This record gives sequence, C-alpha cells and structure tokens, in this order.
Amino acid sequence: MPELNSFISAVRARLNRHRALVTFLWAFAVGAAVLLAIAAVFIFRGYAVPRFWYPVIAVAALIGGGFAARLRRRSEADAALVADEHFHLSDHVISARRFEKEQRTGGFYERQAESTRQLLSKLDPAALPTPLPRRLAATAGVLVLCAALTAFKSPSPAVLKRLAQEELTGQQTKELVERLKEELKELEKATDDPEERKALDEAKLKELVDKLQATKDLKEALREFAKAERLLNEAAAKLDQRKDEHTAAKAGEELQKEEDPQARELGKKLKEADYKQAAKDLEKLKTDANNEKGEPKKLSEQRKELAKLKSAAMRMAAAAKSQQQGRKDGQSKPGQNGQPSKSMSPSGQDGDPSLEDLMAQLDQDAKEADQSLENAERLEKLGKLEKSESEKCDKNNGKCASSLIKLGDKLKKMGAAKSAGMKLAELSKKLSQCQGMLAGQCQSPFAAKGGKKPGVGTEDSRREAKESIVDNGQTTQLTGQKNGQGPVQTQIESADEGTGVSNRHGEAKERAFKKQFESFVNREDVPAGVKSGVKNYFDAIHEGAKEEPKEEVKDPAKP
Amino acid sequence: MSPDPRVQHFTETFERIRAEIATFIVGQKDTVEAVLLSIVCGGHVLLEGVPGLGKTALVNTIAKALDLKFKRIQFTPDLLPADIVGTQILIDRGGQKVFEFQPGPVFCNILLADEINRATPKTQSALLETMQEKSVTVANHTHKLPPPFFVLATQNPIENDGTYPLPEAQMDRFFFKLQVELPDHADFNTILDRTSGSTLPQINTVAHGEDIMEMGKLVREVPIAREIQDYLVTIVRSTHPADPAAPKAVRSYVRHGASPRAAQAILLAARARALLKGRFHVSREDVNAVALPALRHRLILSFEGEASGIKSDAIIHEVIEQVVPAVAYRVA
Repeated sequence: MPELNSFISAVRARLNRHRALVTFLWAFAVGAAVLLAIAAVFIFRGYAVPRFWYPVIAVAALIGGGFAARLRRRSEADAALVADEHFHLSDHVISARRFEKEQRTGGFYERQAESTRQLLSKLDPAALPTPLPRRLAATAGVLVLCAALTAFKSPSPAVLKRLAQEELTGQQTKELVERLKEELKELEKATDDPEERKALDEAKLKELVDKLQATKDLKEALREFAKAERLLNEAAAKLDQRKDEHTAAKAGEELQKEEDPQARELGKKLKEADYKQAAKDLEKLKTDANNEKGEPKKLSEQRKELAKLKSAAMRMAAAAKSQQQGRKDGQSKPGQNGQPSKSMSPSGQDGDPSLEDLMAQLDQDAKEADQSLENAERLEKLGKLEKSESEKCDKNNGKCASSLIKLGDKLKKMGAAKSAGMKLAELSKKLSQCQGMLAGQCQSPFAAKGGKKPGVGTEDSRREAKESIVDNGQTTQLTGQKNGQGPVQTQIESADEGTGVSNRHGEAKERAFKKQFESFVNREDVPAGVKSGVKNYFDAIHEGAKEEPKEEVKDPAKP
Repeated sequence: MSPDPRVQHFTETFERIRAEIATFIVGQKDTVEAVLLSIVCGGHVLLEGVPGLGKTALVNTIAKALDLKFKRIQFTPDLLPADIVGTQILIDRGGQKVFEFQPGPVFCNILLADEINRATPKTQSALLETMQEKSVTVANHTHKLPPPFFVLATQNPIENDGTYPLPEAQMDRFFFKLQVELPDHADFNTILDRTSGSTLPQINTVAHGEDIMEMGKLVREVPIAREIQDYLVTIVRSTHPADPAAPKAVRSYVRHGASPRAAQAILLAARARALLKGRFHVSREDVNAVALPALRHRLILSFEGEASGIKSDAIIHEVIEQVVPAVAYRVA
C-alpha cells in the first residue's frame, strides 16, 4: 500500500531528524562535559588547556553523535506505532503494515487496508510534533560555552615560570652540547702529539659528548652532564702519574745540585714538570763515539762526556732510590699511613717500566759504560787495546744510549699524559661549569672572557640608595644575661680555722716575698750596700701600698 | 468499497439487542455490552454484585430479547447435581420398566445460575462439563446441549455464611466476570419510574439463536496483527509472578496468574469489540478494554494479597500500565 508506506516513511524521517537532533545535543553536552573535566585537570594544576583538545573533542562529539544517531534511528515499526498513538488511529497503521507484510488479502484484510487508507488520506505526517528539548539544548549550550571559555584561561605565573625555565633549559643544553662538540673539535686540532692523542682517547670523548642530548628537563640535563663529568674524571684519573712525577721532581732537585749547566737545566725542567723539554735536554746528555766530523772521539773525551751523564744518572738514580725507599717505608707502616694510595700511577706494574726503574737502569748502564771506557783507556795507554774491548765499549755505550732514549721516551709519555690529563680536567671543569650554569649559579663556561666597560655593564643593575634588609630567616638574636644572673667573678675563701692565717692568695704571696727578703738580707755573701738597697726597695713598696688608701680618703678630688 | 453485509448484520443485531435490553435495564451499559460480547463469543458470565442490582433481571431480559430457551436454577446448599443436569428415572413403557433420562434445567440456551456460590462444591462441579463441553454425561450417556448455550451465573460478594467459593477450575470456565455496580442517581430515578407502575416494559424478541451463532462465527474472522497479539500475550504472561515482565504488584500479591484460556477469551472478546467499534482489526484498545473482565477472576491472590485486601482489578490495571511502554520499546 503506497499510501501507508509513504506515510510511515514520512513519520520515520521526521522522528529520525528529531532523534538525531537530540542525539547531537547529547553528544555536544557530553563532549563539553568531558572537555570541562579535562580543562579542570589542567587548570587546577595551573596549566592552560592544550589547544588540540578542542578540535579533538569537537570531532569526537560529531563522529560519536553521528554514530549514535545512526544506531538510534527509528525503525518502520516504531514509526508505525508512534503514528498510531499520536494520530489516535487505533493501531490501524501497525495492523495494516503487518497484514501487508504477511501478504494477507481478501475479506477483512482488504476492508482493513481500505479503512486505513481512508484514515491516512486525511492526515499529514508533518503534524507530528518534534519539539526541541529545550532543557537539554540549554544544558548543552551552557556546557559548550563553559568549555569554550576555558580556552582563554592562561597558565598560572608559577607554571609560566616553569615552562620558561624548561624552554631556557632546552636552549641552554642545546647550546652547551653544541659548544662542547666544538670544544672537542678544537681539542682534536690542538693535539698534535700522537702520544697525547692516544692518552686522550678522542673516540671515547666524542662518544661521550655525542651522548649528551638537549633536554628541557633540568634534572635530567644536570644528571647527564654530571655523568659525563664523572666519566671524564675517571678518564683523567687513569692518566694519573703522581708517583713518576714525584720521582721526576726529586730527580730534578738532585740534578739542580750538579755543576754541569745541562744537567741543571734538565733538573729545572724536571722540577717544573716540563717533561717534553726535559726529554730534549736529556738527549743532549747523550754521548757520541764520533765527533762532528765523523771521526772517532778519543776515549778520554768520551769518558769525559760520559762522566756528565754518569753523574746526572747517578743523582737521578739516587733520587729514585730515595723515593722508592720512602714509599717502601710508608707501605711497611700501614698503621701510620694506611693503605697505599690507589690513585697512584700503575706504571711499572703493567709492563711499562717506571721512571725509577729507568733511572736506575740508566745509572747502571752509565756506570758500566764508564767502567768499560776506563778499562779501554787504561789498555790504550798500555797499548793493549784490543778490538773486543772496543766492541765492549761500544756495546755498553749503546746500552747506555738505549736507556737514555727509553728514559727520554718515558718523559715524553709523561709529558703527553700530563697534557692530556690537563685537557681532560679542563673539559671536566667546563662540564661542571655547565651544570652550574644550568642551575643558574654561574655564567656559561663558553662565554666570551672579559666584561663590559666600566659604567656600562652595571647600568641596569644599580644598587638602590636604600636597600631594605630582607629577613632570610637565618638571623640570630643575640641576648645577654640579665644583671645578677651571670657567673660570679668573685670568690670567697674561708680561712683556716684557729690559725689566724689567711690562706688568700695575695697574702700568701706577700709572705713569700717577705721570706725571700729576709733570707736575702740574712745572706752573708751579699754585700751590705745591696742588702740595704733591697731593704729600702721593699720598704718603699710597703709604704706606698699603705699610703695609697689614705691619700684617696684625704683628697678624693685629686687624680 | 460497499459495506460487508455480515458486519452490518452484526452491528445492527448487536445494537438492536442492546437497545431492547435498555428498555428494561437502566444504566449498566458496560455490563450489558460485556454480557452481550460474551454471549456473541459463546462464553459464560459470572455476575457479581450485591442483591437488588438487577443481575437476575438482566439475564431474564437478555433471554427474552434473544428468543432463547431460558432456565433458572436457584442454587442452594441442598441442591444436588442431578437437580441440575438431570437424572435417570424408571418409567413404564408398554408394560416394560425402563430407565429414561430426564433432562435437567441445564438443557436450555440460557441458564441462569442464581447465587451459584450457595451450592456445594459437588453441585458446582456438575456444571464443569456443561460449561466447557456443552454436554451432559449421565449413566455413561452423553447428551449434547442445544446450541447456543450460555451460563449466566450470579453471586453475592458480601454474604459469606453458607457459601462455597467457586473452585479455580470453575472460575476459569467463565469467559467474563462482571462487577455490577450501584446505579447513579439519575438511573435510580429511572428504575423507580419504570418498575413502580402498574405495568412493566415489555421485552420483544429482536434476535434468535441463529443470529447469535452467526455473529460468533463472524467474530472469529476478525484479524489481529502479530504486534497486537504479542501485546496481549505479554499482558497475560505478566500476571504470573515468575514472569520477568511482571510488575511489582503481581510479584508481591499474586500466587498464580491467568491461563492461556484467559488469553483466548481476551482475543475473542477483543475481536468482537473491534467489530462493534466498526474496525476490521483488533487494536490494543480492544485488548485493554476486555482484559479486566476476562482476567479479574483468573488471578489467584497470595496470602499477602488477600491479607492486604488487594483487588485483582488494581493489579490488572498496573499490569496494563506497565506493559504498554515495554511493548512499545520492543516493537521499536
């Protein structure tokens, strides 16, 4: 029955439109309520509501509303029921729809369909009221308005400050990491010595700096920089060679006592810990079997030259031995000095000979070379110098030279390690300063040195004429003791019972003086003039002491 | 479309009977309509009301208007089943003594069982087969009652001494139970005017038994949509306390709900009412209208219900009120 179907469709469409409207109102109300809840979470924590929530919730409300409206669409049966109830059709529509669906025809079915058709022809589906749910609409409107207003709420000053701090931390860490990378590059360029490069271990340093990332979290940044600093310190600790440095300094002191200016110069450099230069100076002490023209030197000349080296080596060996002995003494008394320092250099323990060993070796080799030269010289004078003896001399000379070179190399290594250690320490210091800068305690370690000209830099931060003292909570109120409540300064002593002699300190002293005076006066070996002088002196004292109170009583106005 | 002659005959006959009854019975329009609907549907009616409200007069009037064989039995405690259904008597036939069945008063078209609750249960039970099968079995012989057959019983609700409440099985066989109410002031005057004179209004025959049977056949042709039938079934099922859709009143005060026979009665009566209202289908209005008389005597109240004085009518009203939105939702 087309009339019935079109009527039901029209009613259904009208109902669905109304239901969609209600559903969307609900969706917007719920969406706005959710947005308000989210906004409340942010606002109560002092933040502004992130902008992306607004479109997200709006789209979610639209999609959810559309989905719900589709799910809640009225069926045809529902529309038929509503039509029957609203237009008071006594279930004509429901029955007619059912009979048509079941294809019932003839008899009462036809008459029922006809009567339904006649009824529907007089009705207009548009007469079905679809009132706007005013309360729901008003609620949704208010909620949406409130939710929209939250967009204008700015963050609290504390949060703004924190955000600014985070932004600043991000910028600072980014800048610091960049500057550290540049610093590392400059360090690489400045390091020519391969030994120093090896000691620095640039690859590890680069890896260390690369691990530092720009972050907005101040604590995280501080943690990362502190970790890098610790690693650098550990690397620097590995380069620690204090034992050898002490030995070198001691040797330097000893060498400065030498007559030979070259040895003294070497001693000075060792004392100043200029190991590279010391290595060069050490090379100058090297003896050569040939002169500048390439002719073999005389044995006496060679011995004379070796004597300088021998003397220097001897002093260095003595210093090394003394240092070694001192350390042994220290280790043998653990009760006094405790455990040996763990930070001492491991040199000499892992295959690399220590400076002390090298100095001792040089001394021994120099002595042997000198001994062989002495023998050769003696044999030469006797005309019995044989080739084998010359070869022995050469061999010992070579051995001595080799020891000298080893010692020189050791000094070079020490110089490189010291330089690398200083650079690592410098880098570590900068990392420490970076932490200080992030914590707001100092300026950037990479800031240009120097400041503004006088009177310019302080223009904006002049001290006020009167600066109020702000109570920082650390003031201490000093209070004295009230009169009569302080400790008693006078002392009352009781006299011995029945003796009549006061035991007061002053009287005891007076009695002592009296006894001394009497004993002095009674002495036979003292001249009479002196005795009378002493007597007069004491008498004068006693008289003065007795007269003073009298004078005060008589004339108190006199000073 | 031209009007259906059968439907036209139905409505005209019905209105004729109603109009004829109204010449003697004052007011009681709903009761008269319900009794007529019940008769059209072939059902029995239990009329309940205090004495003097015109229950017997109503039945007498209907019998006269329909030109049907009418019998009346005044139920008393000493009434025996044989007094109702009939008995075998020994008679002399051509010098031979034989037992012959002597029909009781039930062999009629309209039986008025006046004050039915005064008879003993045994006597009341004699009507069970009569009302359901419309036949009587005596001495192994079943005797069919002449169609149409209706029992119109009356009972007095306020006199309990010497009465025997009808058993549930007996009650269930009544199509409707109607409450005859006290007439209003105007109707009272009219009753007095009509009955206090020297002559009483004459009741004419306006329909016959065939008409009633024809109308009954027509009623069964009225279609009902599945949705409306679902509605009807839901109402009947909701009278059972165990049903999930049962309202609180049913769960609290009803021991046992209505049987499928109640649903049949409602459907049939609703069909007849639809025709009477000029519709060719059953609507929820029809169901609601006939649910009360069809269900009120079929609900068995629990002890709490009896003790609280809850009326079945109130429970049925609550069932109908609750079922309407539930069905609307389900249909949606």
